[in-house]
Amino acid sequence: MSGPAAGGALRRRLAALVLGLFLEARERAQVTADLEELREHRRRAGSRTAGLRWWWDLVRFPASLLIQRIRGGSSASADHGGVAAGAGTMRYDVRHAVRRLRRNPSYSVAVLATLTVTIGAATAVFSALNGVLLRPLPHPEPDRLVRVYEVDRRAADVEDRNPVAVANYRDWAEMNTTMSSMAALNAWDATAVIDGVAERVPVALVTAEVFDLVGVSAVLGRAFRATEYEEGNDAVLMLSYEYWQRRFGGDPAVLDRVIEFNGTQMPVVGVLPRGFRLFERNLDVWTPYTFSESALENRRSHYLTVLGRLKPGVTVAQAQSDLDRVVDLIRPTNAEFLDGWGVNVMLLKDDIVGSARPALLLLFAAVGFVLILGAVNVSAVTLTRALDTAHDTDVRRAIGATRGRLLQERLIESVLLALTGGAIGIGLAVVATRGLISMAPSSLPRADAIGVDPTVLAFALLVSLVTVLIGTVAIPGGGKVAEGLRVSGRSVTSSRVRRRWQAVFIGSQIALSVTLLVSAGLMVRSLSRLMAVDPGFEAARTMTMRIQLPGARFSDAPSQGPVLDALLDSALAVPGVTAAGITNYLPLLDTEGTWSVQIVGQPERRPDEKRDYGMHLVSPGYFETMGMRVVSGRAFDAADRAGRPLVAVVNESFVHRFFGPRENPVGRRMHLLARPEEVYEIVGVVADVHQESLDVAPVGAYYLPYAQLSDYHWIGVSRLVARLGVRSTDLVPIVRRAARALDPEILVYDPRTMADRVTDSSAVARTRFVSMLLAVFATVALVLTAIGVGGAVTQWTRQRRREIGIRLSMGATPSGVIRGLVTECGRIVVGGLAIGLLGANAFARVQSAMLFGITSTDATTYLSASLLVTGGAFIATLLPAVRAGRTDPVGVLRSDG
Amino acid sequence: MGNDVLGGFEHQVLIAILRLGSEAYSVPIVLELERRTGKSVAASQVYVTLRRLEKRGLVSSRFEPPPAAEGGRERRVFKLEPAALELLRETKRVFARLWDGLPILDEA
Repeated sequence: MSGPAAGGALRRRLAALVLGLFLEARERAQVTADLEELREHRRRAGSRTAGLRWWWDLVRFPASLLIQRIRGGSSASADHGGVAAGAGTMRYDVRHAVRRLRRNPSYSVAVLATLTVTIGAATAVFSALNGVLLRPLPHPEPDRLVRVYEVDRRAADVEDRNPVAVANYRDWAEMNTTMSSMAALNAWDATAVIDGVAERVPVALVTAEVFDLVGVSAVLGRAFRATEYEEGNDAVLMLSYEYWQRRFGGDPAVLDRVIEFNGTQMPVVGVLPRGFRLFERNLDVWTPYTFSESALENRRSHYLTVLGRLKPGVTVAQAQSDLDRVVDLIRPTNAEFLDGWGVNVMLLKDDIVGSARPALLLLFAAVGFVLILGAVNVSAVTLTRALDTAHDTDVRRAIGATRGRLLQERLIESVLLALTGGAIGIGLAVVATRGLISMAPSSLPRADAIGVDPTVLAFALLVSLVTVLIGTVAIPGGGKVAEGLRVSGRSVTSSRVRRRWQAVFIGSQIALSVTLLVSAGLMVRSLSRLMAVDPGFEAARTMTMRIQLPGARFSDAPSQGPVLDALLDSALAVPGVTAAGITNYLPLLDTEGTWSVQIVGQPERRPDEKRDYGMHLVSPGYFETMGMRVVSGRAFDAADRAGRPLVAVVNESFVHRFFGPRENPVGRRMHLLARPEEVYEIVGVVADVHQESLDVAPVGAYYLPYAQLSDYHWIGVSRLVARLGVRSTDLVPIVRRAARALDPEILVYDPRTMADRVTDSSAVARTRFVSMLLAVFATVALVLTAIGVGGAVTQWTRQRRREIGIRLSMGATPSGVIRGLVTECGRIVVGGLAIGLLGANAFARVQSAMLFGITSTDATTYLSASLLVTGGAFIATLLPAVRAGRTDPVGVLRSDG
Repeated sequence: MGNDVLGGFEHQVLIAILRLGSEAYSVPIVLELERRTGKSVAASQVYVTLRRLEKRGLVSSRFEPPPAAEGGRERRVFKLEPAALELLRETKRVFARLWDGLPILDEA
């Protein structure tokens, strides 16, 4: 549901919303279609502002219709388009409005401040929402692009989406009938040597269909030829535009260059267009994907990223059932691999933004509340002003001003305020958006698409106009209020109307702020719960870095192991380093590769039972360095080397999965399902570590010392971890120097402390991001509410000066007056609170998926939020009430006589 | 003000309808005005002007069913009433008389 179609639907809905206030259904449909047609015309005529013009036209509609209605519309004087005299009147009206607003600074400033804050916040969040969720993916017909996963259904509770095995991909691509093409790619970090310097380059291996499928071709040179997708001819490269610019200065002569890539000399044949990305990843180098004979038979290893383009008119659901059919067809002959496995098709855009959607929608809803609060505040201030200037209005009407004329003036004032407040708000939003992006978790997809674009500007403008128009024109009963006023500010009717509205204002503000406070509070408490989770390791004073060995010279574990040992020794020699270790999968950061295991002496299990778990290849000293607890048996030591009996350590979840509660796994033996000849003795059990995320329960894992691995194994990118007794800045340079001395193509990069990795891990970063923004909104809401309540009570007491004066002169004490006012206000606050808490509960249920460690009915949060709002309202009430208590009864009675 | 005075924009809209003939619904009117005057025209301005002209009996409108072609929609098509034609003719005559004998300004 993305793309121009979705944009059109959104526009139609918006237009219906705006026009619905003024036009009947048939007329509304006409105008909506007109606007859409005009936009299409302008767009096809090459206008870049067609979208903006659409917004502008839409926004002008209510204004034009209102003016027309006010003026009665039968005379040519209403026609001010292109007529000098008409424009002159307009200019005069505007000047007059500016003068009036400047004469009443407290009103103007209150409205402008409210508008700036609410519009700034709303626009910043909307720009994030627009960039991530609304804007279509930058590929042609993005609604037809899908991502396809293999689904592991053996774990009963979750649908585990996985990359795809090569043989399965081949079968799907050949046997499906719903896709016009399917493509596969695989991405990792490779080593390139350019001008004698080795560097790490993210590379994508792609099948022939990928570029056509996403509609991209070379901007320089050419794409890969069909023959280059055959084994033996595939040593060619394409570069990303950005890499070409960054590394080769945009020199077209790059096409004559040959780059040493993972040990092979490969010519550069082309450059891809600027900004071309797939899956949010910066992939610098692209090369053809060819599959070996053995890979084409492989259904066991899942590592392909698979994309598809739906045939025109085919839905995702149809493609899903088509591929289900294909999987059912191939399952009987491949039961060993496919039992318990299925397939999942989803829109590429949903795949990319999926995780961010709920958080963004929650924030948008929250910001919507802030907007409503802003509108309520503007209404309250404006109503107050209307009442204050009622006398003035009466005089003007008496000397002949029509009601339309007065309303028009008010309208012009409102539009002026809206435009000014909107403009300042947009400025604030630009700054806030930048801040938002820099604070956003790195897992936020499409962050580069976030920005203030015409759609966002139009949104801000529309929101400010609507806010002010609601605030000024559409005060319910506004006309009646004005009528009531004509009697006098003291009349009973008017003060009743007045008080009812003030009560509604106060009550709704309280309700909205409680909702926001509860929502923010729940997130903040989730964050603290999350940070309190024991990750299973000690993050403090631990430094980590990545090590990448050139694949050509170090192609298997026996050749890689000694190099890693040497680097480990160089780290251990650094003063201040108390322990150091190496692993291939760092917790919270790396996705584990899983391999099926078999415990010796246990029956072979059914194929649909899950028994593939993370295989961690580590050095002796890794557990100690990470502060992982050895629960029973022992950790690895230097004696566990090649030629010695093979050993393994497993974690507690692994023990739960494979052994009974009273069974001691130490001494038992296991092997990889695929390698029965290499049998490991389990020598120890370590405590679980949160591998995937702090909010995901740990799963089974086993650890093997890489020093004992045969040439069947390959270690891949590793992580060196060092525990520092004292702060040391020498560690990384020393390891780097040692690496260079061993081989100039060994890369040491990405140095970061483990503590930073924990705070930046996706669950923590997301929760922190959302809770921080919600806290800001809640604070804004609280301040707006305090201002609103304070203002209302001030008005209230001013109105009732006479009544208070009489009561004081009849013997009431000042404290009695104060108590009376506070009680009266308190009743409204309690009412608002009750509604707000109900609303908060409904809202919290929506966000419950984002909570951690607490429920959406967490009593502490609700209580604190209520206390905070009540306290704020109390203080806001007390000040004007105390002032009222000091009223001089004689003065009041004399002046109002 | 009487029924015989045309505002500047009303005048322009009437001429646009005259020019467009049977195709005169709001979108072509907006585009026609923009093309001829070189100024941007708001759809809302055209909309309220058409309504006003209709109220004054200078134009009439009817809803035309969607054309057979795909993506068509109902259109509200406007046509000039005799009174409008008379008013346009009269206005043109008045202007011609006013300009008669004066040097032409824009070609100076």
